[in-house]
Amino acid sequence: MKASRIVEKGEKGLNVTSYMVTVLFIVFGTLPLVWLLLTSVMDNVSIDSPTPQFIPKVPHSLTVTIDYSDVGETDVEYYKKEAMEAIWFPWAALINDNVGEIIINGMKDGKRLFAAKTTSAQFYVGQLAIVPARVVNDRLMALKLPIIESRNLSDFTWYGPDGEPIDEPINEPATSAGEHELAKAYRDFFAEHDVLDGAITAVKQTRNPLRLFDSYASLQHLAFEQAGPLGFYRYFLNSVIITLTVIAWQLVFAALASYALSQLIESRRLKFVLLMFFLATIMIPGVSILIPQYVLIKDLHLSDTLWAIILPHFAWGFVIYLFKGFFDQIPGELLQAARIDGASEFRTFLQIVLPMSVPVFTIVAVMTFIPVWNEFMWPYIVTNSPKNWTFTVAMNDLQDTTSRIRIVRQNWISASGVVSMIPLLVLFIATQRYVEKGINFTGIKG
Amino acid sequence: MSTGTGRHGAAPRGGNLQIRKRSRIRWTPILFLLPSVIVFIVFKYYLIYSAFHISLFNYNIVHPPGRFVGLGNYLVFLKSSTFWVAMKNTMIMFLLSVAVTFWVPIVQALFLSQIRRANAFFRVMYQIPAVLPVVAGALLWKWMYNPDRGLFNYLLGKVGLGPYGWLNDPAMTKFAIVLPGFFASGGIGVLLYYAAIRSIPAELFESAKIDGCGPWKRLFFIVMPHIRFVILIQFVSFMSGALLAFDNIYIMTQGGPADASLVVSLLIQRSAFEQANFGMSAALSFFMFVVIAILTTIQFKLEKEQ
Repeated sequence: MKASRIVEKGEKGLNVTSYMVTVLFIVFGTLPLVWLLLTSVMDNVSIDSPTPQFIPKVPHSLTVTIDYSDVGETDVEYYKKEAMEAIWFPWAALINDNVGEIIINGMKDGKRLFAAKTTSAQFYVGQLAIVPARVVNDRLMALKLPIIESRNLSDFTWYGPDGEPIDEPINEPATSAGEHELAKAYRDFFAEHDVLDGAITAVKQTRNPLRLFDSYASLQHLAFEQAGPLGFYRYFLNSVIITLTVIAWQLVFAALASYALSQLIESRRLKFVLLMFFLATIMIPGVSILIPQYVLIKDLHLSDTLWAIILPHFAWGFVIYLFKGFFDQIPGELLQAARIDGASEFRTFLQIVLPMSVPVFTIVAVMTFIPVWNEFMWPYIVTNSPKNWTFTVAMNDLQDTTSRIRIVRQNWISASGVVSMIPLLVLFIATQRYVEKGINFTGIKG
Repeated sequence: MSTGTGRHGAAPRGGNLQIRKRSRIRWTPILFLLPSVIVFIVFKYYLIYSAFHISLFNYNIVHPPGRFVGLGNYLVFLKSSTFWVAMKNTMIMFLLSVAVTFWVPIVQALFLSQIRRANAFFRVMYQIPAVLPVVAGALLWKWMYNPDRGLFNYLLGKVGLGPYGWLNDPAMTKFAIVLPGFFASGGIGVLLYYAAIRSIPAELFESAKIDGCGPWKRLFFIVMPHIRFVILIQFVSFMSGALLAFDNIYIMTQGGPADASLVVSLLIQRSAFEQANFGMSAALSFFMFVVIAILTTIQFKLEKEQ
C-alpha cells in the first residue's frame, strides 16, 4: 500500500515546510520558558552580569570548625551569637563569590558543642535586615539575633558541653597553602576583623548542587512576617483556593442552571429570555464594572478577603454558554426514559447526564482555571494585606523597587514564575484529550 | 422569571404521569437556576447599572454618592487630551497585536494539520508556552528588555544592534509590550483552529485533488475559506481582549514613558485608585462597556448568520 502510493507534486515540500515551521514555533515558544527555568537556579552575580550566563554555577559550601576550648562561657545565647557572627559577617563580604551555604561546627575539648547552618535561601532573604552595611561588631549581631531567630534565617543546634564526640578529627591543622580561594578569603576576613572569641581551626570548601535550588527555598522564607510560615508559597495557596472554589461553583451551579435551561424548561419564550439573561453578560467587560464592584464589595464588608476575589467569578455567561451547547445535544428520549422509571430530576442529572458530560466538565474546568489563575487587576485592587494576595499580586510586588524592604532578585521572580506554571502545565497535560474532544461539540468553534 | 415554568411544564400525556411531572417540574428548574440567577443579577446587572449611576456623580466613596453632575464626567473626559491619547494608544496597541499575535495560531494550526507523525506531541508542545501566567511573562520580558543586563539586548548586541531601552523609548514601548504575545500565542487557540480544519470533509480535498489542485493551493483555497468563520469569531473576542489589556502593560510600564503606553483600561484604574475620581472612572468604564457591547453584538450577529 505504502509503496504504491503516488507522491503528489509539492506534497513533499509542504510536508518539510510544515515540520520546519512547527518546530520553529515550538522553539520560539519554549525559549523564554527555558530562560525562566535557567535563571531560577542561577546565582545573583551571574544574573546581574552584563553578559548573560547560560550555565548555572554550582554554589560553594563552606564548612567551618571553630574551637572554644579556651572559652569559659556556657550560655547558649552567647554561642548562638558567635555562630551567627561566623556566618553572616563574612558572607556579606564574600557576597560576590556564589556562596551556597556556611556550616559552623562549634567544638569544645574535642566534643561538638553546637552546629549552625545558613543556606543562601536564608541569607539573601535576610541580607537587608541583618547585614545591610559592612559593619562588623558584637553589638550589631546582638541586635540582629532576635530577627534571625524569629524569621528562621539560620538553623542552630545546641549539643551542650556533653555533646557527641566527633569521629573524624576535623581539627586538621590549618594550612593556608592547600586551601581553596574562598576558604582562604574566609580566614582572611577574620584575620582582619576580630569579632570571634573562638579559634577557627578548619575551613573546608566544597560544592553543593542542592543549593542551586535555593531560590525556590527562598520563596518559603520570603514574606514570612506578612504571610505566615509558608512564606511566599502562601500566595500560591491563596490562588489555588480561589481557583478551586470558582471551578467548584461553575461545575455545580452553572451546570445545574444550564441543564435546567436546556432540558427542563419547555416554554421556548422563557428559555430564550433566560438564555439572553445569561449570555448578555458576556458583553460586560471586567474593567467596566471595576468601580461598582469595588464599592459593592466594600459595602458587603468583604474588602481584603479571598471572597472578594472569588465571588465576582461566579457569574460567567461564557460557562453557561459552553454547558448549554453540550446539554442541548443530549437526546430528550434518554432523559424521558429515566423520568418514566421514576427518577427525580436531580437523580437523572446525577446518574444519566453527569457520566456522559465528562468532556464538557473538563473543558469548563480548564477554561475557568486559566483566567482565574492568571487574574491580576482585581486582586491587586481589592486586597491590601499580603496574607490575602494572590501570587500574581505578590509577583508584581517582588519587582517593586519603590518599597525599599528588599532587593529585586530576578532568580526569585523566575522561581515563582516556574512554580506558577506548574498547576496549568499539569492540568493541560492531564486534560488535553478531553479538551480536544470537548472543543468539537461545545460550539466554541462557532 | 422562573416561576412561570410549571405552567408550561407538561404536555398532556396521560393521567398519573402528568400529575407527577407537574409537581416536580415546578420546583426543580427553579432550584437549579436560582443560585446562578442571583449571582448574575448581583454581579453583572446590578453592577453595570451601578457603573452608570456612579458615572453621573462626582462620586464620593466615603459619603456616597456625592454631587450629581449628570453627564458631566463624560463631557470632561471627551474633552481631555489624555483620554484621546489613551484611545489612540489602545487602537495602536490593538493593531500591533493583530500584526504580531493574532495570525500566529492560525498559521500554527494550518501547518499542524499537514503533520501526520507525532501530531499529538506537537499539539501538547503548543500548549506549553500558554501555561506561563501573563504576569510572570510580563515580568520575565521586562527583565529581558533591560538595557544593561537583559538577554534580549545581549542577543541583539551579538548581531550588531546595540543595547536598546525597549520599554524606555516612547516610539518602541508599544511594540515591546505586544511582542511577548508572539512567543506565547499557542494555547487553546491552536486546538480550536486545528479542530475546525479537521472537521472539513475529506471528499472536498479528494475532488480538489482530482481537479488538479496541488497541496499548497488546497491549503489556501479550501482550508482557509472553511475556517474563515472561526477566524472571524476568534477575531472579535481577540479584539475585546486586546482593547481591554491591562496586566502586561501595567506591569511592564505602568503606562509610561510619558503616557506612550497609556491605554483606556489603565486610565480607568488610574483615575479611580490614584486620583480618587471614581465618577470619572465609572464614566470611562461605562463608555468601554458600550464599545465592547457593540463589538459583541456584531459577534453574535455573525454567529447567527452561520
